[in-house]
Amino acid sequence: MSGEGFGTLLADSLAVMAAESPLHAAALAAALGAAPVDFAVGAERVRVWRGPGGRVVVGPVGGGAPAVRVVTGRAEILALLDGRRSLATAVREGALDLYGTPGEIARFIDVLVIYLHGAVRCPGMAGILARWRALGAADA
Amino acid sequence: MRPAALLARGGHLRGLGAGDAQRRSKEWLHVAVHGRTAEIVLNLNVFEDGDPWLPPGVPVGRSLWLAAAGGRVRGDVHRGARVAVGEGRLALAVDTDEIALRDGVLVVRASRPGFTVDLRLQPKVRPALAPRIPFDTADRVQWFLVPRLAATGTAEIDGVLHAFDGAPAYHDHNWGRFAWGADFAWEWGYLLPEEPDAPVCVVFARLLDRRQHRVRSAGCFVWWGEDNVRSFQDGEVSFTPEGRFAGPLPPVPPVMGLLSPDRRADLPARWAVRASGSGDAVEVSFVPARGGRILIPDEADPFGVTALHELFGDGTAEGTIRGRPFAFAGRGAIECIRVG
Repeated sequence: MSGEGFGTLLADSLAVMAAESPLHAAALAAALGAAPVDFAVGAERVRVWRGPGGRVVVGPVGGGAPAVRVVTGRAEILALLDGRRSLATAVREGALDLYGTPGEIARFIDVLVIYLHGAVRCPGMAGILARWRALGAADA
Repeated sequence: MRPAALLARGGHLRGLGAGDAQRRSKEWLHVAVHGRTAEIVLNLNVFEDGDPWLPPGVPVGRSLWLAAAGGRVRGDVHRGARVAVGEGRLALAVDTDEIALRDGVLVVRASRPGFTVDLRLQPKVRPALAPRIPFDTADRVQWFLVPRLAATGTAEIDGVLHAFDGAPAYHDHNWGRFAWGADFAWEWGYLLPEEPDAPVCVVFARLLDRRQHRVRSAGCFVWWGEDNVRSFQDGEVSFTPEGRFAGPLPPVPPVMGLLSPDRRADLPARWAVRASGSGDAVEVSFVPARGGRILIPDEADPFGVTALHELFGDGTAEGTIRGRPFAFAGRGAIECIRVG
């Protein structure tokens, strides 16, 4: 991946979490399991999976079907982070679409909640969020 | 001794305790102002919060604000790069935000995106100290409060300027050791008279277990003139919640809303607080009108959240203290902890 975008910021946020809250990083990897999750954020396509050593890896979408596919946009993610829209509302309104079996989607929500619990406990995430806002400002 | 002098004597920062192996030390200054067009909370706090990359004893400062204005409530939490604890003085700064006692006046300044305040708070009553409040098995917290001040200055909220000229205000200062998410919850609040010459104001509080099944302690404190003339304790005090609060409760900071979808089922539409004993009696009715949910990641549980519901509202108080009756209508706030 090159250039600032969802993929680079997600990867950097996982590095922050591994450094600042290893407990949450380990729980995240365990919950993610072997099946990958694909993200389509605007024009960007990113795959997330548990790699060697239990490390969560962010990379390009490869072969094989993901367990879950998430389709959304940068502005929609910022609306979630700023509390302007809940996750449930985003799904209902079509601002964030989830594709997968009900079981896999439920597991993805568990993964997301673990990620958020870790993220809110990591001071380094403030810098990641600032970079995300800068991307949003550039979009606007 | 005048209220400001007593505030200077007793309200100084204690500093985080050294050698706290469990790293639960916390200290904070809280200010709330009830203007005609805006209500404001600013809380500057310093926690020894167990960040793994920091050596023990390195304080972490945060600035928390909440504002209700123009029919909207919002707020945020800022983690400071620099915290200045005025040990031996009432002064705490988190980056450019500060609460400090200068020349007998509490100076309150903050500058965050969408929120700027520059206020002077004149103490109107002498402080009181509720010492060693038992939070959990071994944890104790001190509560030093000056519940009635007059606030003058300005606040700019979302680009709208609000002026305060002697607005009712509240201040307290807490320090002690506990972990967010441990087995405790609190409900505390106050009612300040609208009329500046009305003599009485009331503060009430109770401490419960986290699930609110058991009341561990309770108090109701009455100031008459400048003095805390009556402190009702425990069995003398009852809280009766009624109805269900139906207003919106935006999350603070907003991002925490992802972890705590709006829950307000057990927030009442009215609190009735009654206290009586030894011939004295007080009855407070407080009706919350608007507020927010301050959401704090638990320390006791890596996947838990604690919600402090900060509710502004109106109420009435009446009673008899030492044979003298009183009654007033006023404004205030109540803060109650629920599992997030």
